[in-house]
Amino acid sequence: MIGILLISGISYGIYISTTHTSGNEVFLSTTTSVQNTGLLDYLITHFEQNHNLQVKYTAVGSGAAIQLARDGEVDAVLVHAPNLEFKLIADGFSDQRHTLWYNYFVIAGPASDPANITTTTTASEAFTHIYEAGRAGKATFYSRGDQSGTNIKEEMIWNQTGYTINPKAPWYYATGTGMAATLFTADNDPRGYCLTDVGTFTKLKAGSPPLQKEALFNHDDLLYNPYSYLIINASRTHTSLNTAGAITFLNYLTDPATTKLVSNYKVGNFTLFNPINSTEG
Amino acid sequence: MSLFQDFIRSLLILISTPEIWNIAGLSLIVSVTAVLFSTLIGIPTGLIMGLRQQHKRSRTLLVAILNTGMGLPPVLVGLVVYLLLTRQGPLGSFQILFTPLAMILAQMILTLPIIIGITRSTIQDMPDELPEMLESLGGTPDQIYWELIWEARSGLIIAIIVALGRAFSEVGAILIVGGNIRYSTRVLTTAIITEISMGQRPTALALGILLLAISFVLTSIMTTLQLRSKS
Repeated sequence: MIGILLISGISYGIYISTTHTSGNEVFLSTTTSVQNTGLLDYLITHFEQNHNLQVKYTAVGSGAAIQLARDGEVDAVLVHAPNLEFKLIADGFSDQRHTLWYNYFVIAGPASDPANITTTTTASEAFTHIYEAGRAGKATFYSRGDQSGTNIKEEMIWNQTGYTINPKAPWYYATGTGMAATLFTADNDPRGYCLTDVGTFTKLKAGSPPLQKEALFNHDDLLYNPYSYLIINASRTHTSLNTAGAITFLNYLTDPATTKLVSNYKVGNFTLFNPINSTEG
Repeated sequence: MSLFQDFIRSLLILISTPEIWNIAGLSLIVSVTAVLFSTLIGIPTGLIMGLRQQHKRSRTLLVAILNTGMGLPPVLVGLVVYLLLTRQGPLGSFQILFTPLAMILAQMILTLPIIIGITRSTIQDMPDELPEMLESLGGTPDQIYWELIWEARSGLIIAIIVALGRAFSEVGAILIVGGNIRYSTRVLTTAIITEISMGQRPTALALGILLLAISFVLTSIMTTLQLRSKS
């Protein structure tokens, strides 16, 4: 009897302390790179010092983050998958896409560069080299394989090469895991290449122990990687969302003082995310 | 040996960080609460199943299902609980997805078959004549049940130890239904995943050692009880 009372007490306490009190809490779903680099925690800590509003987020990869938005679970998303974002707007789940920052995707590979991609001029040419070296048994490619923003970008580049990837090819591995896990897997393979956002790559390059891979290719506009914030329409999801809170956080993110924090957020002397501020409907 | 030095430094930094104790505390609250509920439901259920077993032998299928349940895949449980609790799901109106309550629910589903299964097998292994003997001594059904639980206590504590171990070290289900939200649903196991993905392996390793240490203390307490119950 005492046990049951105790348990009821505990669970009631947990319930009270954890129930969504939508007035003072914003909940986001995000790509993993903004968590892995530490940027979002840094910005939220700063935000909460000056606002009576808590920002919480779950970092799951852009594809999954957008699915959570469609399920009506989150007030806003912070992702880097432009095509999925346009689809979200087209389907009425959001009105506007606020692009906050950008960086680049890079092709990471072994310093010895067996596929010889450093000499190439376009991302498509670099992937062609990896494809051909792969077939010759000299290189391997590690795909995210999880419908994340990075995975969608890989597929976009493969499309440009004109080659169709056979997912069973012995040189092609779809890890189905996050950016960091995929990088560590590729790192374990002296012939391994993969596409990565420069933020996560740079952070892991400074990790303990550091990543062995080198950023071998980054100079192509196709590798442009914009991070956007989209507020979700509660009228479309039919769930109660904290839209006012999501707007407050957006105003903070686009504030010049915040963009300055972002451009000063560096690993070594490398800026991980470059602020821009553009809105598309 | 720089990884080792980094690890020691990380361990020292960790245990002096208040956030870690919040994370460890939540790990404990979630797992212990889940196992408490599983125990309250599982022991009576296992008791009844164990007693019926002695009369009927045609229950192989039921026991096979129960034993499969003892090894339920955590990610599957996570997905099913997610689908139940998502706001458009059947239990969506409670709005407990991405809260510790959702994590407790998932871990309850994972640990309940363990408690029922081990209880059933412990009760079944007791001498067949014990219930009849208790009855002939004039015991009411309630008294008989309590006496059987008391006699089986050593095995039942093992059930709780196994269930606690499963819950405390579990990551697949709570990652899906909890979301690994900082200051809210991040527990030791999911914090380890986060540190690995941030390239902080020494911190991840230190968190793992902390997890193991707490698990050891918890299990030691239960083991003391279990060994005493034998004498």
